[in-house]
Amino acid sequence: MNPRRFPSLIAIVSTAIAIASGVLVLAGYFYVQNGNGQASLFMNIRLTLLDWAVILAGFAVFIGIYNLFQVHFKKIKKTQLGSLYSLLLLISLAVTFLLGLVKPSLMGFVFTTVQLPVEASLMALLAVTLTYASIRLLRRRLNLLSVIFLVTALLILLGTAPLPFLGNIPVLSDWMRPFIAQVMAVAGARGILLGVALGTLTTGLRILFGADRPYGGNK
Amino acid sequence: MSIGLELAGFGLVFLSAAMMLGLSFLRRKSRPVFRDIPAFTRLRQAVGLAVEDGSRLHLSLGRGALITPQSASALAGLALLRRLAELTSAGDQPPIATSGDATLTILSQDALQAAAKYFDQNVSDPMTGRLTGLTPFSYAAGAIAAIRDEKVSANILMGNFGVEVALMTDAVERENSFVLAGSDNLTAQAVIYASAQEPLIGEEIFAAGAYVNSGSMHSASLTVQDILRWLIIAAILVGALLTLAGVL
Amino acid sequence: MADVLCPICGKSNPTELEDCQFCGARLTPLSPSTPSASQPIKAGDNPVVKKTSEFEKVKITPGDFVHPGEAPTEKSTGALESTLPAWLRTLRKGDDSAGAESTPDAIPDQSLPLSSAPDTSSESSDDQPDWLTGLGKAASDDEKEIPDWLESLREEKPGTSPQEFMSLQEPALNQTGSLSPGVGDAEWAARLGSEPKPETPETKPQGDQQGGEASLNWLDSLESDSGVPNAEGQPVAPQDEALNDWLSGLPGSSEENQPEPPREAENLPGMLNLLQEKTLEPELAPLEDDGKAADSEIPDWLSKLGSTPVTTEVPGKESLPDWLSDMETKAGPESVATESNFSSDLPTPGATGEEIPGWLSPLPADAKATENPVSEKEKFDEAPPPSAVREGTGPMPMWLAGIERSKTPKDGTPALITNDEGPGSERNHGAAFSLEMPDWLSKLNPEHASEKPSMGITEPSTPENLGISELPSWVQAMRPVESVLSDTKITPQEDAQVTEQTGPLAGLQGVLPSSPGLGTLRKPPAYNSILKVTDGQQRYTAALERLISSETQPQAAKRSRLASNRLWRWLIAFLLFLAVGLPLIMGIPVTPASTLQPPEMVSAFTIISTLPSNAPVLVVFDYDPALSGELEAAASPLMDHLLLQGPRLALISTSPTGPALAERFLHDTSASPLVAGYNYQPGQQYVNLGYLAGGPAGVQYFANSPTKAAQYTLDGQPAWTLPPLQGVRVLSDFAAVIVLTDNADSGRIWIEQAGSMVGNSPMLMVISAQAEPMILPYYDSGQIKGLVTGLAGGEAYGQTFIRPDSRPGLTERYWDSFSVGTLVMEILIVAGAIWSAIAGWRARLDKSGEKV
Repeated sequence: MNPRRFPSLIAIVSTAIAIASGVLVLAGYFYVQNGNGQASLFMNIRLTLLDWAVILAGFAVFIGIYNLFQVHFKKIKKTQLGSLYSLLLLISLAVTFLLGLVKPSLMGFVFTTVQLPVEASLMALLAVTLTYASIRLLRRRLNLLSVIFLVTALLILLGTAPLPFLGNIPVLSDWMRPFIAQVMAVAGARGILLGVALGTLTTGLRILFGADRPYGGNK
Repeated sequence: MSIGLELAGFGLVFLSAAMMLGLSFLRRKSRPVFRDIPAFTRLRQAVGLAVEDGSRLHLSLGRGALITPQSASALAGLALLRRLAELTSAGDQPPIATSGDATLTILSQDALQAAAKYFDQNVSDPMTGRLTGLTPFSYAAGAIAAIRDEKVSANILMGNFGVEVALMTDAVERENSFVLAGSDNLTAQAVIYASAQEPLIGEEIFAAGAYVNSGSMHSASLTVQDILRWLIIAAILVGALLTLAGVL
Repeated sequence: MADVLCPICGKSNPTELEDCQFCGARLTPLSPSTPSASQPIKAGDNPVVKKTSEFEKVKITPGDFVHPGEAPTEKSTGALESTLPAWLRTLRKGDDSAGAESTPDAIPDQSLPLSSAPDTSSESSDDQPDWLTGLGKAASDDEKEIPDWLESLREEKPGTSPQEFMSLQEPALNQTGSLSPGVGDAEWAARLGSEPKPETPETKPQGDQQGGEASLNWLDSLESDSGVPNAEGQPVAPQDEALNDWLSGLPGSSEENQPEPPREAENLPGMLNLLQEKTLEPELAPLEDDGKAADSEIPDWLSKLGSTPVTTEVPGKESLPDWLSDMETKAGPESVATESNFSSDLPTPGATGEEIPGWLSPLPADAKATENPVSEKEKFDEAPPPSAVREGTGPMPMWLAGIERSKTPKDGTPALITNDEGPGSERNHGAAFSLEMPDWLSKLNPEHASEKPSMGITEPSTPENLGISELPSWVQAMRPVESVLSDTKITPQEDAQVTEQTGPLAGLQGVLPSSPGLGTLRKPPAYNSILKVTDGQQRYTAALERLISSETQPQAAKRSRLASNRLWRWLIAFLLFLAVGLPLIMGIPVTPASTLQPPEMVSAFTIISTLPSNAPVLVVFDYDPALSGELEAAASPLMDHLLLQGPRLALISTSPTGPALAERFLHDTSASPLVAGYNYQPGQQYVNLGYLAGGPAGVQYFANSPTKAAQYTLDGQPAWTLPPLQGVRVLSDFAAVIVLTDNADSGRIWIEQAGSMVGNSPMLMVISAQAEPMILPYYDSGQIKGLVTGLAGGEAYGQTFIRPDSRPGLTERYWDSFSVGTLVMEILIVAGAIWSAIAGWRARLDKSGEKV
């Protein structure tokens, strides 16, 4: 059977379930209460489906961790580039898992001594990366927008942090920075978010129509 | 939620759905014309180069879980992943997808397998759809490994990111490969604009499907977005005028 | 004409020269007193041109010579009857009986052209030479039924003199013989395709339909197959059989496109073998399986085979089939001449079938017999298994198919530069070249080319029943040109069984009498068919070869890394590390305290200050470990202030790492000294409700019914029965909800999903600076009552809230580092951006300068 012409039964069923679930949740969002003030049937269905989604999301974490294990195990097996790090990852995964089972109280210790410093260090590294990116910006795109971008970033920095021995810069700290951050940036952000919301709406509708089937159905 | 807001919301959804269906029908008969977005033009070139030189594409879907509002950008990324997998089906290696959420990982594997089945290929490699981390920076660190070690020539970062996306774009720049990045997160957009080679601003990430010819519905949804945007602009202006007039 | 045209290259030479000054070919025939004339030609010997016209009763003058492309002379077959040699007459007798056995009832279409019998393609009868069948048919053709290809033949000039003949061939020789640059070999094929070609009427439409594509198909098949084994030299076969075979091998014979098994090829007389070798041997090998296909798929070029005497090349045609390259360089002129001779020496058409002379009457029947598919099938069965490449190839010229079985004689003097050894031999040939040559060039191996002179060898043969008689004109026309032009005397031949190695009788053994008085075979002119490839051309070829080979080799993707950027990164990192680390290490305050008092911070301070003692407060830890430094520093003044009120705390998080961060915050003295100083104990002063899954849905669920959404504490105890949550059942029962988040989306979720459920209880937020633009509007709208933003907000809160013990918190300790680090970053950005802008501008100038 040519899958291009004849979608499999699984694809048909999954598409039907996805569309039905989406429509029910959407209906529950608009039709909340009955005439007597109680939760409507659609509302109950919506909450039930959301509960299921939360549970499935929790199980998905296990699947994701299994996928993580699979990927790095394969890298070790094939001795791919970076397989040593994969080995370290798998060892850490096993140790953490066993600690969580045997002595959960040690999980906090592992978290505060391993994960938190590592992630905080990556965040600190971001300062270097963003500084370098800002330096390279005008070389990459030398235009008016890039200049405005850099000038705005500098104004926010100057207005946020006081200068050594000088403190806050008048006008810039108490007027310019709040104006940029709370008026200009918010206005732009609202406009962008409106566009994002519209995109979210149309994306959801495409899934409801079955035009986008990220769950594996054939187009 | 008041009845008025409920009705307004329902009307917006219904209007959008009707316009999408109608426009998608019309789009099948006429070729849509879009404004030029250089990022997508270069994406097509990068896809062609990846197929030619036997390298692979890397698409990072971010951390937007399906049960969050941020899933929309991830779903847009999944549609692009599906389309790119089809476009690169003639290549030596399928694209790889990294994500920071387990549900996205499952869906990315599903999308890749569906694209492979569409071309009668048998791809069930878990390496193609990966969960690289459950926290933002662990996810970024895992994605950086994929960028560096998987012979990737083009990277598409499309989804919900935070500031950690700067680490990924920086890794791409070190590899001297192509990167197209877009996010629905404002902070990430600012970071992407400064660090990415081809940034997508605002809702441009939702136009990706239409620009890579994913189907008439994508083109129709793009048109619907434009129509709704103008309606919102008009509503804001009218609302502001009425407020100034003291009506509202 | 003062100059003599070289019969090989066609270029003019002074008359005093004996050899061509360009190609080295013999310009004048050798004298009969050639020492080798009386000796059998052996391998490696120079061939001797032997004049055969002496024993032909029919004297052929140059004007009688029929050249390629000429219209056939109308002759009465009755006149030919007397000119037929005895052996042919004997043969005819034998044909009568054989033809009676094998000929079907139906006589071939009388309108068929001369060589239409081969197109019917069934195996030629064992006792009837195919060329004779074609002859018979042609002789029986009525004038009105002359096919188009004969009409086209007549348009050409008959009776061209030898010099004119050479001049006619000159373009072909110049272009194909030397393969001069710019002339493609396909053009040769195209011109060849215009020559008269035997074709059946029913197959012609197919050939027309296929057109050039069909011809390309069979060219491809030729090119792809070179591995057909060649028959070795064979002993002399009985004459009848030998006649059939050698005649079948002649160009234009009906068996030419028949798949012929190697065994049959081995039975060919040596002279025919030589003939085949000298003409199209290797290229025809792949055609043996195409014989059947040729029956129904005759390309246009075959149908027009006889209309153009010379072979030219199609400019722009890049690839040349191997067999074409060989043929054009070595056997092109001869084969074409021979082919045209077949048509030019046709008996005068006009006689009806009833008027066919008796000796010719059985010939059509035999030609028809060749259409028998059964016998054809037998031939196929005997043939070597076809290769996959050959399958499905296009039609094959029949005159080539009959030659494909020829082999290189054992004497080791292949007459053609051929590629009859398959791919392996190609490699060997290629070794002879210092440069890598394309296939079609590598086949033009000088090693083979040096053996070219031997192709003109004509040795006497004395078949038993071969009578000394006059050769008919068409047979004369088949002879090599030099033999006609030669005026040397005939010398007796010693070896009666020598195989003819040149001319149309090449490969036949004992066909021509070698008894004394028949004339001496002379050494033919040395056909210099060496591909004249100059050094420059070879360089070009090598360069092209290298270019193509480099294109076909897979290249790894470029993985160039920007190593120079690493230095900049290290420099930036070092400066930032210095700027942040020095104030922390030295502890010298360099930055004045913040004097800013944001209203949202003041509002938050006020709310915290008004919280009743022992009030339940929900604290949401929704930030990631990476941003814990900023969030803890920003939240520590507020949390210290909160703890002074002595609230009961409920901790929850929508981030998986949130519960651990919450525990750390409460017990890490460096984060919040006051909170840690109070030594809050889980289950006593606070409960950790752990991770709230589900994102917005989970938050909404928790907001609607917190007792169901988070029933247990982190250590598994029922949360809502513990002292810190006594009296709390809904969200509004909390005195305040404080959200610590680094993500605007997370903060928005709490505002949107839980804001309506908190009732009159205030919702406060401590956020990262990056979330300020998105969260601040919610403060303006009143959905949140207070807001502390980033380190600066925490510092401002810390300046407002004075700790009782005056111990500095995280914010105060970070303040100097924050200030100095930010300043250094600003300097780096400004300086670096200016440098980048200048560098980018200069780079663009350089690029534009290069373009100009």
